[in-house]
Amino acid sequence: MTSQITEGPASTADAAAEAAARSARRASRDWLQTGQAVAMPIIWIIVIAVFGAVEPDRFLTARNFQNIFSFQAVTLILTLGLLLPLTTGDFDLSIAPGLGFSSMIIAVLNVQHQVSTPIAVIVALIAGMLVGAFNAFVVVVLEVSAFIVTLATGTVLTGLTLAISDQATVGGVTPDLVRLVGHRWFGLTVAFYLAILLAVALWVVFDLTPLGRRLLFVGSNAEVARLSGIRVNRLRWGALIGSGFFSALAGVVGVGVVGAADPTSSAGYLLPAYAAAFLGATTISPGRFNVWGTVVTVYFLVTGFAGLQLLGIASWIQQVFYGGALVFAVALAQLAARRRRNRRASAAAT
Amino acid sequence: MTEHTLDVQGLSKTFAGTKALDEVELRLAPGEVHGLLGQNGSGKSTLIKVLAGFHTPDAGYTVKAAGQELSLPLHDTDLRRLGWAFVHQDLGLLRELRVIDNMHLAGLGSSQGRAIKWRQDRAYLRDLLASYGLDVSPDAIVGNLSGAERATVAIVRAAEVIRSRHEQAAAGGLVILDEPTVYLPQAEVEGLFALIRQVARQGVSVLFVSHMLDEVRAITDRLTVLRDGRVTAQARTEELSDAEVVQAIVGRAVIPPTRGSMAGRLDEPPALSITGLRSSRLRGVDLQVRKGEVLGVTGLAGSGFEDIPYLIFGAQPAAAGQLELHGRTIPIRRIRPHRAIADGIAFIPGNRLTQGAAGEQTVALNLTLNTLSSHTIGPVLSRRSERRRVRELITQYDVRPADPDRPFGQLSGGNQQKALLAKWLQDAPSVLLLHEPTQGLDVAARKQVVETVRALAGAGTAVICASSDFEQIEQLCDHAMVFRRGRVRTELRADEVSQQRLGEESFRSEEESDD
Repeated sequence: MTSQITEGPASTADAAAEAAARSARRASRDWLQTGQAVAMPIIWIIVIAVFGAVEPDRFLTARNFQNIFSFQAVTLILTLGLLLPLTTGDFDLSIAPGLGFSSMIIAVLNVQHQVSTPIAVIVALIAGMLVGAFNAFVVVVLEVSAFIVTLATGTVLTGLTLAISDQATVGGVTPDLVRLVGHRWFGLTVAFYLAILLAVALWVVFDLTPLGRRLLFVGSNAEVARLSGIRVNRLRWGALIGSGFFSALAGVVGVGVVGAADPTSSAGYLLPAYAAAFLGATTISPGRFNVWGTVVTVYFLVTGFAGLQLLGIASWIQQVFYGGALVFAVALAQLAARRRRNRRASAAAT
Repeated sequence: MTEHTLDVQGLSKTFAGTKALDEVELRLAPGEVHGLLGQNGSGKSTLIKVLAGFHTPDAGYTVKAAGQELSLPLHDTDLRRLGWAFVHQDLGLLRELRVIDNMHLAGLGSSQGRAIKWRQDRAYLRDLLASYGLDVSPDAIVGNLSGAERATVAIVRAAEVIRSRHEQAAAGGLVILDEPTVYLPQAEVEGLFALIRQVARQGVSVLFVSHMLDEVRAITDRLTVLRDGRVTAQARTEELSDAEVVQAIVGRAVIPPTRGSMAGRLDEPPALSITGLRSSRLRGVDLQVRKGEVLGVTGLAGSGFEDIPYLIFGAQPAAAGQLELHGRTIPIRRIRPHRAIADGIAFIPGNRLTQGAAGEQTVALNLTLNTLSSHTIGPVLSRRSERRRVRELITQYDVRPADPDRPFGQLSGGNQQKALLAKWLQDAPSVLLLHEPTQGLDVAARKQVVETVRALAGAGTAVICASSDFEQIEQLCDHAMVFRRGRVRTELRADEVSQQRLGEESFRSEEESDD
């Protein structure tokens, strides 16, 4: 549309033609958007169908799906937390080391110092938020790139995890946490329900509250947000503290699932979280980080991975699979953004 | 050589239906210094950008250099071959590097592709700078030089680039200076002029783009004035009086002024008053606006008027100053946008897509961003209430297309501005701050913006409008202040606000010298 807003179309025939053209454009736009929104769930179903056809006895079992849903709760909680800073436009690379640190705090306090589980969990969650607050201080107040800061704090946390664990796996966490996290209702663990509950809570915040709208604008254009009266820095603080909290919570669930804390395994969570968040941003509500896109993507990726394992492909495929998915996701998002820009360029008049 | 260095005929450039340049003609003889004048948006920068190869003009032009016909856009190699050099307002120097590095980047000194002969190049450069009367070490970091030194380095570089290619150059060479004096103190301008004369004596033509009438008068042989993309005056400089040039720059009002009578309101106490406002550009400004009054602040680009709304809203940091509003006195340094909004101040910035609204988000989301709390049921947003408000606003402000889900950035400039008015005027603000509210709008959208703001003022809002568009100030404002180098130079009452008068006050030569 151009800026000619003064005169109406010269004749009714013109008006009708213009309206028809507009509705055709609109229809094709809607169709494209809907197609993009549901592409991932459809691919997910296709992946399940393919693996199901190839390995019906082992893949299409209740047990397999129970495992897929339950064991990925840790990744899902971690990724949900990551959505907070990504939405406000900041990276947080310390989430995976934060997860490992939190697990190790619980294991060490519980096993070596006989601290009760609830207190150990509270200590771990507070530690997670303190890490987030430290990140926020350096990023927001000192205005350093979040990418670099959180890479560094993440490395510090990895070191601290090794230090408090004496570089060894700490096992024998009291069974109450293990039993709680692993308790099954309808075949699915409490960990899974917790992750879904958190997803619902975050979805409510992001999509249904003024706070979520403000977070979206902070990430979309911080200057516009600031000039619209939004306390941009405060929200960035909140988002980074939030991701610290979620990563600590993922650590709590992780130690509950495994019953032990391993000082080095947390590194493997970083890429899946980023792959799920970025690939998730291309589906359900394409073009922005969104909760349900992330949930679908976490399970889509793990289904693919589990299927490949069942086919007997070695576990190195995990790295290739997640890494490839991340490259694919960001490339796809970039292409979609470019298409939006081109459309805008052809539509804008001034 | 008798051929013109540059001969432009029938040059037009259309952006999305709007003619930024309309059949422009321009001729420069060798050794001629030619002034190019016009307001913001008159087409000056578009013309420079077309010549520099950034924009491709519409078909039908003829551009010749020394009799040889050129096909636009020009590429870097063409510019080198022709001996053209541009000094843009930002000077094109890399500030972190040394003077000598910047010379090397322009291809001066050791021949390309060989090891740099540092000793030889330093000696050459020292002599070169000295020959232009510049006492600067080749090893000085450009960012540490004064503004005047930087400008001189850039111009010396341009002149030297042309001289070094003089043999290959088809014509005498051309330097295009795009507002080179904006950042220079008055005293340094004379030195720059001496340099320009020296360059011109070598047979090089100079196109001198400026806002400043007195400078154009001092340095140029001939001048061209652009308005709305058309040439409105072209003559030998001494043939035109100042009044004739200003007339050519500002033209005549198309729409009659819409302001109402301020009689009877003049006794009212001010709704907002500012004392001692200082910032990086402003050097102590006092101003007052009454309820229902529209105050225009204007001047030339860079004179500081454009900072007023940003400082009052807390969008930019102020150095000092007090704001009196609703009977309270607030240090302007302490103002932040969220506090200003809480005090009933609304602000529509000049850059609609980087400051006004998020272009990738939908019209609907942008429209309700400031009023989210009025659409909640408990802690949760009511989509229905938001939708209803958005539909009402789109109808009321005539935003087209009337599609709430379209990304804001896809609207035309006029519709973006209408949407921004809709965004900010939902809770009638007690103070409205505007920066260039009609820039880039067509006549109808302009009219709507002016009428909306007037209606708001009629309902009691105090309005401050910063604009370099004199026509728009005349249409909209009850009262205007003209800025010059960070200070209020003149205050004009309603019956004195006219384009002609605003132009004279803005472009008039500096009588008193500044600190």
